[in-house]
Amino acid sequence: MADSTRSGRTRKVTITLPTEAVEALEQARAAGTIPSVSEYVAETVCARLDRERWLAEWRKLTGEPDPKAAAWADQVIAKHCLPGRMRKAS
Amino acid sequence: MVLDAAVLVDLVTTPLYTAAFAHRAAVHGVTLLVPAAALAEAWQTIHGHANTDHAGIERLNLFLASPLVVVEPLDETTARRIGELAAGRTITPDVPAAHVALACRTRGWSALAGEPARVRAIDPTVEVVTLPGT
Repeated sequence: MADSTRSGRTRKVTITLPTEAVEALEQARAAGTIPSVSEYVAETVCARLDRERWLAEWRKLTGEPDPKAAAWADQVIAKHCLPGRMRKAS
Repeated sequence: MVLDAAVLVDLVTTPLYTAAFAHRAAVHGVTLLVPAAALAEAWQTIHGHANTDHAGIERLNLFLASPLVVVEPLDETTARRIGELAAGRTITPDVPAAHVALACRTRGWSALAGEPARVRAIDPTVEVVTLPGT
């Protein structure tokens, strides 16, 4: 899949985020965990867009999943892929 | 979640559950880890099938192109750790299964396996989910 995060062009927009999320982002920036709030939000949005693009291609190729199989998959994911385990591997 | 070779082969041959799993994992944003040794075994098996169809190969290629799929390389350090993990087990050397077990141990993740006994033979403490129909 093409990486859409690095076209180099940017455009300023105004977005609304939950107050808690903004505070957490500003704290992370102050602590040096993230380079900037804008960069973090841009990378997160681009990653999600990449995922959606891939899903569209997957649907085109395989169709919608079988309901019984999808229910099984959801159950496995809920049990074994808890939020703390959903990190991208290094 | 870490995938074994049989899951990847299933994605090519009889993808009812694996295709659904790939779809739902992407919806939930779950990272899927494919150890390189398991991927190598999968390609060997796939190319050994006389009746492997083009659509199945295309499915696996698209799966591997997912931004949520990570292929874990088999480098020098990993090779050494795999050997250490499998050492002492009274089994025929099984590098693909050991790579799956090591990836699970390293991250504390579970495995989705079409051949769960092979992963458990390397490390019985790894949590293994069996792919239905295998």
